[in-house]
Amino acid sequence: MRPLIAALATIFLGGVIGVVGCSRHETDVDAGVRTQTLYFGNSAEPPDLDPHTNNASNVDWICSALFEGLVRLDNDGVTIHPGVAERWEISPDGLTYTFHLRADARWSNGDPVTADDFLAAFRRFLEPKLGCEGVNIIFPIVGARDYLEGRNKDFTSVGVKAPDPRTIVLHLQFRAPYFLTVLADSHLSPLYQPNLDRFNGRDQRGGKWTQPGNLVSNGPFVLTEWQPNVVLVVEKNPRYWDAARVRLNAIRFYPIEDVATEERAFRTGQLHITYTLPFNKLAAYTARHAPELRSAPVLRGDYVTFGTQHPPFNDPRVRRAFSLAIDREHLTDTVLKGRGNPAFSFVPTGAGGYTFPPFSRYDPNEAKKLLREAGFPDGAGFPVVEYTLNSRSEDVLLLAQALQQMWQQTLGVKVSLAPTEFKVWLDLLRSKSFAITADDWSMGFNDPADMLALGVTNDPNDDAGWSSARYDAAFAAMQAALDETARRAAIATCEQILAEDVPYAPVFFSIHTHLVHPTVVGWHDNALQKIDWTAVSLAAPH
Amino acid sequence: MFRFITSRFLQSLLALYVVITATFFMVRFVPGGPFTAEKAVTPEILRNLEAHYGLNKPLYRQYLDYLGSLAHGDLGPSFKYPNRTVNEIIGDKVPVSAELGLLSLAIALVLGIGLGTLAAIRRNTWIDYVASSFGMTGISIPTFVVGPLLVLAFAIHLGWFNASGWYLPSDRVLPCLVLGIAYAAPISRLTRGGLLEVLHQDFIRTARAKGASEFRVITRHALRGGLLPVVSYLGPAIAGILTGSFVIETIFQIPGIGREFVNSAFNRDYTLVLGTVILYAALIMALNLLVDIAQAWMNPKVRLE
Repeated sequence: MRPLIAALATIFLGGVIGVVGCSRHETDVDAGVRTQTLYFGNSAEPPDLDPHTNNASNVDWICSALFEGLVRLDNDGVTIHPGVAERWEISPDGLTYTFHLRADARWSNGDPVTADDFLAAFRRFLEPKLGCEGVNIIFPIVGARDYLEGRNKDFTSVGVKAPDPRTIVLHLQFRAPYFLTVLADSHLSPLYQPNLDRFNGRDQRGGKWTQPGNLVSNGPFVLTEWQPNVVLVVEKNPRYWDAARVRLNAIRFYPIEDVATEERAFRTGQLHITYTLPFNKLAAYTARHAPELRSAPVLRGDYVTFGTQHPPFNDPRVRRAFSLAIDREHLTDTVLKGRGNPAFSFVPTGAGGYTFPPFSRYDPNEAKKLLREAGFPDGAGFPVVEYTLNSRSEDVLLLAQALQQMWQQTLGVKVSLAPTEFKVWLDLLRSKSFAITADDWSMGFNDPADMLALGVTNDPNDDAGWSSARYDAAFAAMQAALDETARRAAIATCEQILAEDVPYAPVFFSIHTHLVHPTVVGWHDNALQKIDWTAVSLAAPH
Repeated sequence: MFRFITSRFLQSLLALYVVITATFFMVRFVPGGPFTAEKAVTPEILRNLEAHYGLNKPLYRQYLDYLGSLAHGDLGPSFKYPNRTVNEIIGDKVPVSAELGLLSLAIALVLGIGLGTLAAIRRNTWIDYVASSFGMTGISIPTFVVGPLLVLAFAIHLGWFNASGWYLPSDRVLPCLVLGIAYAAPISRLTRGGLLEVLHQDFIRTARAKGASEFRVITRHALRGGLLPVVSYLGPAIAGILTGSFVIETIFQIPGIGREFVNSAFNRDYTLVLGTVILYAALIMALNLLVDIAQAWMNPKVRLE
């Protein structure tokens, strides 16, 4: 028996040593600097690479490498650069946009990119059968919403025109000062029509046109490899009109969903950039001032949603009392520790370039007074509040525990936590069967209008189930505003009504943290979390 | 023997049908659907999407449609990954999980049976204590602790391996070791227990009296009976190990079927849930049948008829 075991052990150990002996010594990160190949941690496996139906930011990273729209967003998140359109005019009333396409814009197979490709892209994005989730960003276009929701089946009624092969004209129904940033979004990428038709993708999801070999694109990179759950590789597109400016030869997107696994891969030199950083690692990286650590505020608001249709939260005084009892600064300092800034308004500060004085505040005495007026002095007689939360991440639970404690201490009410699985939670949210929950909203475009829509009566995302004629009027006034002063005033009115009636109580604005290797040049985290890959390159540190 | 296999096969088919039916209706009654997303869409759009996947038909109709395509071996399109079918996803991922599983199983058997045997024949010596402690520790410490610890030691500090991935031959070492150890622990305990029971029996004394060497007594006579508990454990264990380990695949970023199995339920990817459940159920049934046959061959007291 013993010789047998000894023999097996020798074989096993020999195998291990042999394998280790053959393994390479240069890490991926080092090799990448030599070959200008970026190793990028990209969270979950992309469900598809269809920029129109996509609703995930990690797929947006890939799509913005593969496709290019009319305009391009700089890595500062603000400046707009020419894309397929070399120049454009906006009419003085802000309602007509005329884009002139460049003559040298090409698909990766050499065919020219034409105005008709853009016309087809707008049409497909609005196709009712496709059900694109991000489509609300182009609702400012005349007739867009009616076409999407089937009230009008004639696309010529929609305000997108292609008078000649190198001109696109967009007609808006209201002034949307942010509209150029919307057009830079990968959602509005043109698609190569012959392949859509060949693979049945024009009005259906899931065509094979997004597979390597089939995918024809017009951006700085082309898709060369896609092994599900392993890696997705894009390589430099030599036919891109601005190829001379593209420095990277390839980007390898690794779909590493587990955040701890991703961080370990970064530490062993397998990734240049991670998608995120585990919550429990932030303190250690901050303490040693790690140069890899990057953090930036993003356009994401985290807030408490009240079930405004059921007692006791159908009483605005109760909702305001709960909002006034939240000590937001204490929360961000002691619980979130670098993951968020306190939120004193519903819309994240700086969205669309707007800043406002604080609307929400911390006032425990006023909170107690309001609760007393509502008939619950010191919380007496207040029913036990069930706080429904999704069990998706550690942060959600930490936040819930902190809020629970603040409400119990300040208001004298009893709050119980009810964690639920994510989709069950979404179902409760949509059916408005909850008393209180915490939610977040990542803004789809850089303007308060995106987030303020959550307060509009019967908006699909109106999870609080709240309705206010005053608010709807203020929102409509914002859309109808002809100049910046009127628009700014209307936005402030919306915020003021939200602070008084409190369907949502703002809590904090997220700060995104992740790791970037020192060899990466040209990477800037911006509030929109969009990236211009043409600005990124790799250089050995000096 | 033939009658036994035929009747067991028919029983398995019936059980499989029950599993498919139960799963089909159970996933439909779970709150939330494949298109429930963080940003809600208008009801019109939702109806269009459901119509595209046939979810607007009555449930019994969808069930019959599903059974119809299943009879042709078609598991349908995935909801989460619209440009891939469930057949493609399973075809892609099962070989990876099988490779991980078979390598781990080899480690588990060599290590588990080896240690268990040593512990039994050197009962109540330090060898037994070491082997038994290994068994207890291996059972008690979960893979999500052992995995990151080995990565910390061998990938991050020593730099011998990648921390994760499934690209190079060396990427197989850590995950297979972790999974192998997890299965080796119960196998070593079962081997020790089974062997101790057999070693006291008369036929072993007879073999020794006839002058057989200790090596021959253990390998030819004792192990054949002593491994019976291990064999019955192996049936479900192999099915589990071949259909992938969610934890190991997640920690080591391995593109196996185990992650799909778990994530498809979270995604409400109805067809993928069914596909993976069918695969797992069929494997368990097939392996349990094999176990029964193997036991009859190893143990003269068991008869198949």
